[in-house]
Amino acid sequence: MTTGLSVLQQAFAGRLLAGSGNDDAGLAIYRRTIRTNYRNALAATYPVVRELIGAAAFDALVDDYVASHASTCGDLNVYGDGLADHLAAGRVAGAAPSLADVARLEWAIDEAARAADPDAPPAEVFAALQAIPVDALSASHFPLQADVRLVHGRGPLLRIWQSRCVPPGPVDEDEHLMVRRDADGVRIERVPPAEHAWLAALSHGATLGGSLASALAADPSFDVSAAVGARIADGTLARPRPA
Amino acid sequence: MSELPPTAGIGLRAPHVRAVRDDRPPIGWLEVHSENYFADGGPALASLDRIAASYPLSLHGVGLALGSVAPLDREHLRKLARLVDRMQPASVSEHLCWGAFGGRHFNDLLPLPFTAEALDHVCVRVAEIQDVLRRPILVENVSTYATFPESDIPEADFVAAVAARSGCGLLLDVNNVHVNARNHGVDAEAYIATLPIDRVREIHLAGFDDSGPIVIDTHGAHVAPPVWALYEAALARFGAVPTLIEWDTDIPPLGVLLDEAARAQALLDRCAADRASVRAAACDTAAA
Repeated sequence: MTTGLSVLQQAFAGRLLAGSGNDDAGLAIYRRTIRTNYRNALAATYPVVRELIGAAAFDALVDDYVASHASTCGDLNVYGDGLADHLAAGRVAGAAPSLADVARLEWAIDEAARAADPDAPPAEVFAALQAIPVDALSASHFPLQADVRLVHGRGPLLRIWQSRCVPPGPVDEDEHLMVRRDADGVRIERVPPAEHAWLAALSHGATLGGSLASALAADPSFDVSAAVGARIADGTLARPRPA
Repeated sequence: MSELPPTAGIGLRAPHVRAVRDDRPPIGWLEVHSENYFADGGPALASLDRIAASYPLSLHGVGLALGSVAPLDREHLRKLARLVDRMQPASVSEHLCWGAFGGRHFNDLLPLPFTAEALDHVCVRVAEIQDVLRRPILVENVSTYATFPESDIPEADFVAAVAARSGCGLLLDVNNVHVNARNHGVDAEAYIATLPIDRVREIHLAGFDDSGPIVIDTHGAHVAPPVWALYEAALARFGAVPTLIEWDTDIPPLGVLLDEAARAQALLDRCAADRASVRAAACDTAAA
């Protein structure tokens, strides 16, 4: 009786995952190729993290990450979403605390690049807004465009990402960023904490009324009317949905 | 549905996308890795839209793992179908391998045992994929570094049977045949002579790493002389088949790829001329 296909693939998978002590040469090549594929994929997604810690440390980081985060998809472009949390868990000795936030920013950049195109240009979003009765605005939803990502980290995150180096000294302030695509690639801007909290609430499905509490907690003078107008005009907000 | 032209193309990788998109150098056709364009939107897809308007396009998948006993990844297939609908490529291809087991994807082209059960399994999978895509796909032979003692069907017979039973076409990677011949003692010319003439719709050429005890298919070097020789044997059997230069690691300047493609094109032209003269001679004989 022949050994079944499932048994053969299970055994091969088991040998790939086992230690490298008793490899034959062929299995060692597969193991090395797989490891290289993951290293290359994450290096493409996290170029700044790689530059900050160096190629050798980054390869070790990826190997450690892969060991605890199995890939479940044949598309390596979407592998690696948990690297920031992995770093935040302290898996790299001596890494700057901001490294996890840099990883979070790089994943946001990667997601923004792959996101759907805007559902409507600003003029159409304004028209949809004007079609909603005033007394229904509070219960309406104002989703963000698909390419918008919000990142909150320890500062100076944007400067670290731009300069690819971590300035010395303690970090004593938070930084709130918004990432999205523009004509030249990806644009990153600093956003006031109250507006960041408001946008985050909207992105999690809060109604316009429900989104205000967190913004006002950060800044009692937060002007939601001005924010709605500005963020429709610059393409952050998608077509609103009446309740 | 258009077909790839019987000319030489190149695998389009990230470093050359802008130059090809904006400068439109003379290339017979282009092939991209399907997964690199699975995005919901954005600049990469927009670039490919423009490129597909200027060149015949082949979508070449690396992640469907069609030989895996693990369930077919329906989301992966949905994204491929969406891309195929958008780009209307001249060709869609995948690899004859497996890559996932027990919920884990290894993201590599792992070797299949060549058994009757594996053949049945692959043919069912290819049929499922073709049903979803509503078109035949091409299936590519892969380089392997391990074999299974349980294999009781010669690889070339297995590949031919996949085409015969599933209705798919074949993407003959000549470099992979050479690599496997070196690694496993397969007769490369006999392999090519086994494949059905009417099913080979595309050929791949690439370079390999010959520095160790096992030859590794790196796609990181010039096509080697014995692979060019085997390619000529393939052209003699299959005629002028669309031929791709693949280069995926240590990617050189675009000009190097175009030079390799030009060398393949010269052999394609010679093949077509030889066939034309044979045909003309046959007509003369018939008329005499």
